[in-house]
Amino acid sequence: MNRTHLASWAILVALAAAGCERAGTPEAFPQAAADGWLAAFNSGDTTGLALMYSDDAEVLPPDEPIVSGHAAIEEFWKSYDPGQVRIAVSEVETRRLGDYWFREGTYSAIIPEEGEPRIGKFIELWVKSGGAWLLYRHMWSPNAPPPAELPASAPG
Amino acid sequence: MRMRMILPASALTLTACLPAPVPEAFPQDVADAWVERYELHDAAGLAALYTEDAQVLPPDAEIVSGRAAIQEFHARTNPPGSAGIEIATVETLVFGDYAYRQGSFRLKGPGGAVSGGKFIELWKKSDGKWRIHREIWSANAPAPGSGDDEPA
Repeated sequence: MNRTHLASWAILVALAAAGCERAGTPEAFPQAAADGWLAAFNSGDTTGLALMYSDDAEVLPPDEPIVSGHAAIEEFWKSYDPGQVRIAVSEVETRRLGDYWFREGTYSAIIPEEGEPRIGKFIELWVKSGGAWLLYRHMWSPNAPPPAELPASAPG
Repeated sequence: MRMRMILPASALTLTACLPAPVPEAFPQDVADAWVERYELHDAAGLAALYTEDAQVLPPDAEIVSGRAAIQEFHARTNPPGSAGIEIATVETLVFGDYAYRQGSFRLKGPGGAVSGGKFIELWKKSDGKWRIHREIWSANAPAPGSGDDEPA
């Protein structure tokens, strides 16, 4: 192989490697964003919480209609008493789907006046918008009906 | 010599830079089969529309894992005489061997009572067949007097 051929090869291989985004290293699930959601909820920062959703996000809560839009989502989370109630997540599975991340897991909500935490499961779809990973769809349900004496909107 | 060198390199370039394949359409025929089998209270037929390691996430109940458990779940929650169902697809996204669907449902009770809710599904294609891999749903309002709910 002479120099000209070698140079042709090098250029073509470089083109092949660089010419397609899909050949890049896979991006990891945006754990910092997910951790940020928990930190905002557990500190009662509902404004910060609402900013973790995309402009066209929808929250799909149990026994309530779909909530959409930053203002409505912020108002919605206030009813869950963030800052008093504390949420932890576990048994999480994530899957990259095109420009989205799908996440599934279980949660535990500790409510001060209740002895046992309320356990449930969730599914989320995350989308990258303006360079940040944001929640696009957020749905969950408890593993048992809420205690009868508490309002249906209580966390869980 | 020149041809031998250039052809494989060109082929490599073309292969790596081909545009992403056009996504398949959402498997609406399978989704329609789900509704038909639900209304026939066909638990085994419904279970066949889920992946072997599927998970169903029902409201007010623990996760149901695996096709056999999902069949038992449908047999228990959708016995003959149960309400019929209407499903509307709101959004679908297809990514290779996975697809996402969001929708709404309405249950048609024998007495004419109607309740509604929403759902999200993750579908997976394996062995050439699209099946439901994950499914979560909930009602839009608390059930009157009970925690009963029906799958979407």
